[in-house]
Amino acid sequence: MFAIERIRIIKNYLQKEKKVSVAKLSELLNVTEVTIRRDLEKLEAEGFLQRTHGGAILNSEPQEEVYEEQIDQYLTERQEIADTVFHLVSDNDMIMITEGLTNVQIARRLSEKNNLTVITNDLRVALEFKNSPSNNLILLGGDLNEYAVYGQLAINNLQYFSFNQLFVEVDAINRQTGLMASSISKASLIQKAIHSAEKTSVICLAKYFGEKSLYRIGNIEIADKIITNSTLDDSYKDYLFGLNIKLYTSVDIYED
Amino acid sequence: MSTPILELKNVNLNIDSFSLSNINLDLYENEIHVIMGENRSGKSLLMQVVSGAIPPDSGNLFFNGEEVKYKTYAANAKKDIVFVRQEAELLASLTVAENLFFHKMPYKNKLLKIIDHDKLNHMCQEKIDELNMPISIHDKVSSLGLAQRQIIEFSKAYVSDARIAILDEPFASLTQNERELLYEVVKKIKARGAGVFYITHKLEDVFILGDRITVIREGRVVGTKAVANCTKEEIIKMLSGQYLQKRYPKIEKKAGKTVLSVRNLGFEDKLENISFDLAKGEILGVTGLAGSGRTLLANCLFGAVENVIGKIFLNGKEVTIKSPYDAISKGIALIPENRITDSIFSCWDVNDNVSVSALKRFTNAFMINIPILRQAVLDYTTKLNISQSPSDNILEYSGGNQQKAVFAKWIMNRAKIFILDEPTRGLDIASKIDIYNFINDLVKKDAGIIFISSDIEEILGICDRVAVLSNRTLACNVPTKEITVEQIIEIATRGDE
Repeated sequence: MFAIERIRIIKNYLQKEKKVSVAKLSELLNVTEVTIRRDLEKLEAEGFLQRTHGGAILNSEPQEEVYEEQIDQYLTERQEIADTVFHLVSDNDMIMITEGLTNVQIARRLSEKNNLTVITNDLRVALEFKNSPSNNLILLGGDLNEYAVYGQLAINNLQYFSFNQLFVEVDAINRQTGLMASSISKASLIQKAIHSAEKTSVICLAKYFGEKSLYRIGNIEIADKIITNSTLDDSYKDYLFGLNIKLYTSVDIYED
Repeated sequence: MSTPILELKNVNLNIDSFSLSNINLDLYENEIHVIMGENRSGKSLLMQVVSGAIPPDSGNLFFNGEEVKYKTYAANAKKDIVFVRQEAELLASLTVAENLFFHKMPYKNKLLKIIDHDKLNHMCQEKIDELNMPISIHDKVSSLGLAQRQIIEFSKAYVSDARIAILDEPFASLTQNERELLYEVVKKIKARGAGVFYITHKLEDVFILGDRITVIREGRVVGTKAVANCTKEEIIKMLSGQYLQKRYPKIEKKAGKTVLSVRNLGFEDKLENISFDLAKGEILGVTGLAGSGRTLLANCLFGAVENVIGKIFLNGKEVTIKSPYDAISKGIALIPENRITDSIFSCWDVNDNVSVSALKRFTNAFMINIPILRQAVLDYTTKLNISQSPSDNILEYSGGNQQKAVFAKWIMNRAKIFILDEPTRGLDIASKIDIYNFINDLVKKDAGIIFISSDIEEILGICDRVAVLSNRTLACNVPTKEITVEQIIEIATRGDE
């Protein structure tokens, strides 16, 4: 049986029974205890359960974190996207990551790299690198708006940098209006950042394609790469291929 | 020169989402007009139009300088045109002489159609001496080899009175001597006053035979040039045209340990001395002309043909792969070129098609756990963006979805080495992009991929290394960054040295 399948069964079981033993799951799913332990570890990392001696119990109260990841229903998609980005960045790259929930997941994956220089305006992105001394993190200064800094100060800060790759998370991609952001400060910061980047990669969940947001960042052609999840509508695949943009629809299906 | 025998003006034709657009082409007497183009560029379709088999949607046709209706043209085509196709079309149980003069039999009695065999044999012997062919007129065609059959085919074009001869991709698998013999025949056809359309993949043919060359790409004429004042580089340039390598989604992945090593692999007289390594997480592109043995190589590695010589190592250990069963149990998967006949079970629904190679993993005490299996298939088809329900018959699926289901089958089987033979041929763009991204997922997780394609742009866009099959062996094996489209075409079209 496959991890996707097992994890769903374990989740269902736990939600009903609140606790379970490794031996019980192993018998139920017909796989070794080692495999079950690995699944439980994964679920613990997601904050779904807590491992106990020889089993696991359902996590009743949400863990306190800086931001509430548990309620994010697109976490899997974001992680899949992050995994693709992981394979687009090389050690020693200089990159910038803008604000966004997917970008936080990307930062989490990238903290496993070595010798990266990461510039960001998102505090959560910055925090992901707190235990990763081999990478160099630079946090822009500016006016704090929730989790990220913006404004003239942030834009002025940007002029000191140039980077190989820029990862911008946009709020919508639309054939008519291009790349969209939900605030003017975000749009203008991204516009500025694009000028300092050799290559621009645009991150956007598939469900936000064809949607609209208030502020326009620019044409879709700004993007060298677009990275999204696998449920993207076919018409956009066609369209972006025609624009000569590399389109990554991150799938996570093959198990090694 | 005077007026051309045949002239096509602004010919358009659209068949099965492929189109010939604005074709202008002409042919003179005493001329060998070479037609070149990649696979699926539209050469063969164009020749079908010229031969009178498929009427164009629009455009004008001039024969001997006069405009003719296509209907009239097609009706006369039998007498005016001789078309030698790739596959020999001889009558195997008749003799050489009978085949050669099949359309011009000498009769003792015209009414009763009694064949004058003495005269026939005499005529045939004359031609054979004239062409200097190493064949006896009394041989049955069935006893002849491929090369000799091809010579007879060509000689038929020489013997006939047709004013236009179309020779489609000859010489695919001939030795130098045989080829030179055929060159002589082609020159004789020209010398008797006919115009010859000569379709080929080999650049050297152009300079040995051609008077003019026309290059076709994606259903359009790129250009027509006189061979005397054009260089090899110019032709390669016309063949390669504008490539867009930028748009292929490729991920960076450091290749891991070598997972597959092939040493001195050979098969009959079609493949020889093939050696290469494939690492985990690496995509090795294999390209070559039609008939260069791309598919055959895939079949050799998958155990689908017998009597393969050479050694195959998996993870450093030598293995023997005698059958596809061996290959599958060793973690090798093949996605064949011909989806309908070789890779799907057309009478089954998608559930069965997807799960067929992974049944073992859903089996408990010899019973297949159907509900879990169905659920797993559904997980896979949803993940792979196959929109239809898995209980539909697979033939109701679009080509793209069929191919994705085939991918699902092997992914479910957790193969470690994927041999993909033209995985995106004929698919819509959205499915192509899906497949490139599936491949990315395989590569991320350390699968090794052999990616066979005739689309050089695609090969350069997604592979880490590229190997070119030419003259029965791998003529090069280099990182994609170090080679250009032009160089690949040059290697693939290179003749025997």
